[in-house]
Amino acid sequence: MGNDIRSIRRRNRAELLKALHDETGGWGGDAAEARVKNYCKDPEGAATMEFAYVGALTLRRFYIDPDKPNGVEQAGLWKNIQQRLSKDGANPGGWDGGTNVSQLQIMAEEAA
Amino acid sequence: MPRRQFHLLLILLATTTISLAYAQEEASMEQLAADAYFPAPVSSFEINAGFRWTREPMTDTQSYTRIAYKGAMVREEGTPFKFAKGLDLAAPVLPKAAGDRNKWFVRYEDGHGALGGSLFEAEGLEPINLRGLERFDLRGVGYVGGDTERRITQFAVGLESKPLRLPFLRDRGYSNWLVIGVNGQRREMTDQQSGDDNLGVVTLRTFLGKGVGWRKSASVAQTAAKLETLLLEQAPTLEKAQTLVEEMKASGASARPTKLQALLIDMVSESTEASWTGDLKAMAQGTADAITDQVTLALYAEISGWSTVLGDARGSRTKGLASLSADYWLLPSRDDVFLRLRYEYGYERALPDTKLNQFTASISMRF
Repeated sequence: MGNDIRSIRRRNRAELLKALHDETGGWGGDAAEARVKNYCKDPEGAATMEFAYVGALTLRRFYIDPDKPNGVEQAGLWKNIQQRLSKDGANPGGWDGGTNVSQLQIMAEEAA
Repeated sequence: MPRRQFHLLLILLATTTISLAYAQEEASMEQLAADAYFPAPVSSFEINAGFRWTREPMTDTQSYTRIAYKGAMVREEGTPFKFAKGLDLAAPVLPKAAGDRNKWFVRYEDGHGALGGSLFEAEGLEPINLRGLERFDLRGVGYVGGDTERRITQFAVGLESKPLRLPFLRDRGYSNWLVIGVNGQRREMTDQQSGDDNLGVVTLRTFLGKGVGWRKSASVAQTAAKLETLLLEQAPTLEKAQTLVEEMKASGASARPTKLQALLIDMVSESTEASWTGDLKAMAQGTADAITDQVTLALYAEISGWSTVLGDARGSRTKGLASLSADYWLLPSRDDVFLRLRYEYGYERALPDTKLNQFTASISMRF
């Protein structure tokens, strides 16, 4: 398991996808499910294209209802991600179902 | 402005927006896909207008509107996502809007004729660690709800479980969750001498949904080529990309990046100088593949209920609201306009004395 920035960010992305699965039970819809599962199995060995693909998935694909995640669900997801990344950063807000995995990952990594 | 005129104005706005959306369909699918990405719709402001057919407490048909603010920016100053007007790779983060709404969803409904008034509801959640109970991963919740017409306001605080999976749906591709909670609740009847009470409430909310009819809204290859060209113009080398990322960090933009800024940060962590062009091509390909995925129909059911275990429930101790919804994205390449059909049965927590049994059809637009 590498400790370079590339390996860490790839593992963080997998943790974020697992947090989304924890909260919703989904894997991004039928069109993405196999690719998301494969990425999570081996994030460091995944192709660059797969790293980009799972990063561009919006949260809405996991929550199904376009009105979700609501405030409670957002807070639950944020808590889950922070725990998985061993952090305790404050939620910066300004994100919703239209936000993608990559954006949320960067927010979570940067949160103080 | 009188209510009828206000409704007509909103319906006119809806019609105009849909007409514009159809007009844009004439643009190329690849351009639309790229435009949708730079910037992406933000959903911080939403108008939902439609018709409601009620069966109880009276048989009636009426128009209604719902306006909702979501996210941090209740003053309509936009968000970093909405603010992105093109290739703003080093654009600074917006100043934080006044009023901390980050963890709140607020809605206001009008045209609730059958219900007799307007409804206000807000809820929030904070992580909470209780010594000895860490393994249960409990979450603290707060709730405020009320009916401005009947002058009932309710406040609650309590604990909720983390989302649990519905066992019979494990690994079947459905989004699903079940959350159980306990609340201490205070009911205030602001216009009456009696009716105030402290209550103990057990809550449950569950969701089951699936998107079907996945299709491509545009050519992946052509969308990827467009993304690649746009990115290469801004960051032809890794060194240039690193400079842009440093500028983002210095300006604070990386705390809430746009989709494009996020993609660039990903590329810088992913690539090397030697492989920059090839990695950029792969990143553009993967991104284009995801953003051209478009669901046609989303089907979902939700139940939220509560049982009053302590105090005077004023009627049945166990109540809840069940809803069945179908959202249909009618335009081939846009995901910000959709038709919604919904059936609701039961009681909203903010209106525990009014039974709903209604069907709604509406057009939703996100900005």
